[in-house]
Amino acid sequence: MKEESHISAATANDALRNRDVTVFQEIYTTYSESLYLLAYRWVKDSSLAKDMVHNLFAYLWDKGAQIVITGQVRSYLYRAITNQCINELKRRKRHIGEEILQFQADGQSFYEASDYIFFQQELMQSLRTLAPRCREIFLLSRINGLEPPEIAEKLGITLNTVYFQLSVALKSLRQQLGPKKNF
Amino acid sequence: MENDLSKFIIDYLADSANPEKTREMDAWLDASGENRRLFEETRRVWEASRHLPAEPFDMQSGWNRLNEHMTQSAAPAKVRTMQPRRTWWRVAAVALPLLALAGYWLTRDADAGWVSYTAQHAVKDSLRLPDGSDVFLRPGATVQYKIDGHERSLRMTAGEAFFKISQDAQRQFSIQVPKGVVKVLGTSFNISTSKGFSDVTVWDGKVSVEGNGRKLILTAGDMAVVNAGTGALEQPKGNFAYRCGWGNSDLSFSNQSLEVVLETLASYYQVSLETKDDQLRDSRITVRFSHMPLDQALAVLAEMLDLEVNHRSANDYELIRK
Repeated sequence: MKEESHISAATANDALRNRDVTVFQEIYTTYSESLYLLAYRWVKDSSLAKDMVHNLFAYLWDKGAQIVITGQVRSYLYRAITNQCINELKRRKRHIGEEILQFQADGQSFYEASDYIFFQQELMQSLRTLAPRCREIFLLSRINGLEPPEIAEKLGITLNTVYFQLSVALKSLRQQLGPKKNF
Repeated sequence: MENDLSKFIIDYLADSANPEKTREMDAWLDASGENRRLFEETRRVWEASRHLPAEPFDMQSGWNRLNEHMTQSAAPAKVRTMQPRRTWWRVAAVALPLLALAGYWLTRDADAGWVSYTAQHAVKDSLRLPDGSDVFLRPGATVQYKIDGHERSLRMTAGEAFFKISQDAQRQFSIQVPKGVVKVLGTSFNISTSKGFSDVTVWDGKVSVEGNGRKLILTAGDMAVVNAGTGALEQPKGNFAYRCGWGNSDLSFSNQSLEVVLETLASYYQVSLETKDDQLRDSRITVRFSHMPLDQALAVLAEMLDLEVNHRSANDYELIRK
């Protein structure tokens, strides 16, 4: 798994105040993917999630002198991107889910979110180990939301093959990811 | 046996509103704690994978976009910031439509024997391959390689990397980019891969680039461009050695416009370098900065072109003709 680089709040505050590109880029490299996954969880739209990450870092860069991060940098960023997503959903008059409000209200939810992001990253790693055909069928089912009969028709294979490949994928992923870890 | 079990679980998960399937499932779950554990783990993967974004995060292009914003906002109002000219590879990188749905995932093959590596350090990451070759990667660049007694192969799907390939006459080193192959024996060169194009620039030695049935031989300073859609090859005229500079700390320009020189230096030293003088921007120079700190490099430029360097703030410089 990716090694977590530890950037303290003090280091981050200094970097933002002084516009230190090197440390700023390190913050970006360390957290941007996690923030993307969290934003995607709230807005359910890849390109909007990408914009949310961009806007957050642009804001940090522009307003760096006025920002004081206390506590963990990661926790600050998760909260910031969540607030930003809520504002954007409001602006677009879109439905704001229970989960996101729960996250905003509850201090403990940070651990749940970290856990969620970590699992998603592990899942993406594990997906790369599946055979290409097997992965294709799994992704068509899960990401593209096709039903097994639709996949069979699209790929010109039998329904049995679809079920077989899905079960191979699930078995392999389940074995790699193991039981739910409690942090 | 377990495949049948998974099938039973999928069947239920895909259609959990069906009362008959629910009854069957409940009975099976009640049969043992082991069943319940297996079910929970499987369901977790099944549910989590539904929330995967269709498009994975592209850190390199995200950072590029942010960097553009940073250099713009660093400049005081009214000053025209020096935007890189919309050269073809930039247009290609920006204008190409996003890959549809799961396509991106599928190109990432992890067959037996291939090792995958993604650059993690902030500015430049380096990787020593088992054959002694060195790869320098920009953040977000990903390579996969397979190196054993018979072959030296590497695949690159995204980002930019500079290669110093160790000499080995027995084992050719080959690099796959989308729709193209780069082959070398021992040399150094740069490859930058975006969704639309890959470009290959040679620092020293000789490199062959193949795409769409054609083959080009490149020597020092040459560049070739492979179209990621068709494999078509192009060889723009000029000396492009400077494109290797970030990787080997040796920035060499041969009859390049000051605009390209400034753009390259700015990206290498992570600062903003500007000039408001259009004529100056277009003037062409030949110059080499080898392992040189920024103030020395600027002093050399100032001397060559008779300029004054105005240090406006920490990372922001303006060049003015005397």
